[in-house]
Amino acid sequence: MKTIQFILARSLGALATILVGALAVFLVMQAAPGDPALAVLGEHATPEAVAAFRAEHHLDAPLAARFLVWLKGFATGDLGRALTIAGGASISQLIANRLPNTTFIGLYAIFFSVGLSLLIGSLAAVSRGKLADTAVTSIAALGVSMPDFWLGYVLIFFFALNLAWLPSYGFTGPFESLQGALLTGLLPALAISAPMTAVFSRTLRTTLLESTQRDYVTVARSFGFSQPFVFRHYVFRNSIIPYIVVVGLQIRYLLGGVVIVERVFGVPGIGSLMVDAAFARDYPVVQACTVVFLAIVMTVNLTVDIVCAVLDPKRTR
Amino acid sequence: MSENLLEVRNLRISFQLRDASIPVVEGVDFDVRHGEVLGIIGESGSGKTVTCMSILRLLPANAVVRAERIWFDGEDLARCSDDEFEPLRGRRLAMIFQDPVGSFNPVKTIGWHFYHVSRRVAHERPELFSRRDAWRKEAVAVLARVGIPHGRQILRQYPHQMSGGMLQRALVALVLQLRPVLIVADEPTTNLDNIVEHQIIELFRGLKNDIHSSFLFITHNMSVAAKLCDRIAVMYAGQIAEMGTAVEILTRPKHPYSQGLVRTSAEIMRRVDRLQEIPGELPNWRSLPEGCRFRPRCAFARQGCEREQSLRLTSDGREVRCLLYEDVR
Amino acid sequence: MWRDFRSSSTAMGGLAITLLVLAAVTVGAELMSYSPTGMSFTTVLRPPSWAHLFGTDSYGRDVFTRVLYGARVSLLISGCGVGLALMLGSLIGMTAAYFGRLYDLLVMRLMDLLFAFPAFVLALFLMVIIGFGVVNVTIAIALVYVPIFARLAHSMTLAVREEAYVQAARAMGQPPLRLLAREILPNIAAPLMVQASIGVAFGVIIEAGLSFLGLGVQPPTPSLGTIMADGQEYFRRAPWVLTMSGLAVCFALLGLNLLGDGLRDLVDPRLRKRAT
Repeated sequence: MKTIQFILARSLGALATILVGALAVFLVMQAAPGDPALAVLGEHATPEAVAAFRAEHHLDAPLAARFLVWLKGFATGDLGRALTIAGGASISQLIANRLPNTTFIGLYAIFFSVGLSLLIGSLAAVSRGKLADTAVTSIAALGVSMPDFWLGYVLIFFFALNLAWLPSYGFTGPFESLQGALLTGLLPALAISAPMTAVFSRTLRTTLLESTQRDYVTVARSFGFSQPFVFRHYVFRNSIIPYIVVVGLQIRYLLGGVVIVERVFGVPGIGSLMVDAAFARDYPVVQACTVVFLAIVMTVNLTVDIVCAVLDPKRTR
Repeated sequence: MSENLLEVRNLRISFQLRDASIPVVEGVDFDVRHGEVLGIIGESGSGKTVTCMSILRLLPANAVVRAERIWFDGEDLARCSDDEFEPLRGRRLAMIFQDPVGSFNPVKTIGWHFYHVSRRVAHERPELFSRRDAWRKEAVAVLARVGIPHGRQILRQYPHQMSGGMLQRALVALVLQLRPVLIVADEPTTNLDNIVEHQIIELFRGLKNDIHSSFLFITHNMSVAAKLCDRIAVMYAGQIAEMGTAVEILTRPKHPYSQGLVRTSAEIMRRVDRLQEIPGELPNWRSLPEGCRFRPRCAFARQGCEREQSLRLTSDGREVRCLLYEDVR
Repeated sequence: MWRDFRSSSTAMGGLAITLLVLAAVTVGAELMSYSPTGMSFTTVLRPPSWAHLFGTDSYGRDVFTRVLYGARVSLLISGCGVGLALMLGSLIGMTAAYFGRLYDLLVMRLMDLLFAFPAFVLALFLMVIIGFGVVNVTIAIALVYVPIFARLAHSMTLAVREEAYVQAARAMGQPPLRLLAREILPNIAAPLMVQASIGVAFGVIIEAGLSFLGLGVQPPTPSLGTIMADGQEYFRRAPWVLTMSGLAVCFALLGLNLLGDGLRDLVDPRLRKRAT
């Protein structure tokens, strides 16, 4: 079936992009100024210590070999050890521990963004006219004007410190306790999702209003189809596709917010790992985290593409 | 009264804009008899589409529609609320639109359209759902009737996979599935190329003879009108300028505007060297001329034309809105 | 066109706020009686009052003054970064679309790759490579935005390339670069400017984020991010520093975003009309 062909083709494309991206990250990292050995051992390290360090971390092997070894590491789960942070723990272990947390928060945030915006956007589409337009535009503009970490603190201030409904710091992983994860992850997810909710709501409203102007609505009404039927099968069903396309485009901004919000709320995820590593100049960890983030974005984009293809017959037939 | 399927009296339509109310149709009267095709001819902007859409209540929310009477098959639609009107739309009155490509739901198959249209008339035509696939068989039959032979495959296709001509035929088929008493066709051939247009006209001619619906056929094309219509109403600037049988209007038009229309289309048919066009343009809605709306473009304008003109009934049964003719009423 | 602009309340509101903000950070900052770095241990951590609109921080500095100076730095960084990206990205996109073939393929694939990374992660990655500081943050913002401008310029140039006036200029023998500058650029400038306006706003958020984490602008240079980082340290005791400075950011960016939205409404229907 053509749909399966499409999915396969897109998946391969995503994989290719991840590989090329990993290569780019690797090459750029090699070009970074400074010797990682000196960064770790300090400026006054002895030449022997530096040589030993370099040997231990295979820093003198040829470039291509190092890249392939590294790449293989993603598959086998051995990415080497962190240079400085976490006491030199295995990088893949660090990532494996933290990935579920980041994924959970990310999905939670997407759930809020999409869910709330579907509701708000549909309701907002009912009211037309200049006042409604200005209001919706302003709220959307306000949404993207807010730094998401700032919103995180505001939420902490109200819900955690004042009302003490939710904890202000720390995160229970989803595998430990789903309920705990939902509770501790609520504020971080809200903080990340808020800007995007505003934008998505406005997008949905716009596409809904556009769809109602289309000819097929008039024709459907002329057949005698009821208003609710026309809204569901004609207006909403056709609006959802451009809406999802916009969601896909904006995801990369949403995921960027994960990094800081993890720090603010003390969520042990890939984002906070990357920040810690950045401070400590722990290049291998930063490298690995960047590629992981790339993979997450590509996965989300692939999912969006597939959903769009399934919903829109023009793409696959 | 019983001979007429539709009687419209004093139809007035205006659009409410931010700063003004624009009158688009003023004082339109016409009848459609059982089993006939009434053609409505006019330039773009004459109000013909708005008139017909108003009968089906398909105009946007800012349209204000008033009429003394809209008598349809035993009911006065002018007195109906929107809720009372809902059951009629699609079942007794239906419309074929100008642009077939934009008329279908792009994310659904043709079969989906047929299914829901069939469900719409399930009450009147229970045979469509007596067996599991009855509606599908009927759909294939109707598609064959409009000139689409491979109905089963077509039902599985999406609109973007079909050409404009086929979509227009499929649209006609959908309307036929409803078996409405009155079909409004709004320039159904305008967007099609000549060969397909010819086929659709032949299709309509065949249908006119077979089924027992009446047609309200909107067009700006004289030759199409000549082939299909029994009677013709010529509209200009929101009013009916002339009404009579098709043969009479096309061979002996009385109103100067109708004469201009017939003449220009005849010239196109004869391929003359210079087309004698009707001078001037349609009047702007915000600044209609005093009295006869055609006056600024009329070669026969004279004293008295600056007063309001009403439809006059001539001795040979024609209705004309022009003071050149005697009213026998 | 100015009349259309005037009738759009979003555009006018956005313009008003933006101008107000610009005035505040340039002239207003100088007029403040406090110094952004002047410490005073007698007025440590005071809540907002008429004397100190945003209160004071842990060094006794007036937060409002610091915000004005910080905003100046942040806006400069973002403005320059986006400006750089605009020039470079447009050049890349236009030339790729115009000259086509292998160059187009390679360059746009590179842009797609850059675009595939989450914006903030890309910026963070770059900071690790080239180090921290004002200039480097500018470069990071530029890197995030180059692919966006490149893709936009690319798709628009493709659309415009086949227009009559372009063909005519080419037939008349106009050299390609001049053609790009004279014929194509003016016609694709409008959406690019819209994107730039929105870009400066987001660039400030990126800068604030990087500086907040300590990976961007380094103290003692005040920037919106470093001020918020300070505020975060004693958030429980004195939440106003973080809250008020964040509100200031919201306000400034709201102006930019409204301006961008208003411009986009102006530009879009035009584009659609042109396409038909």
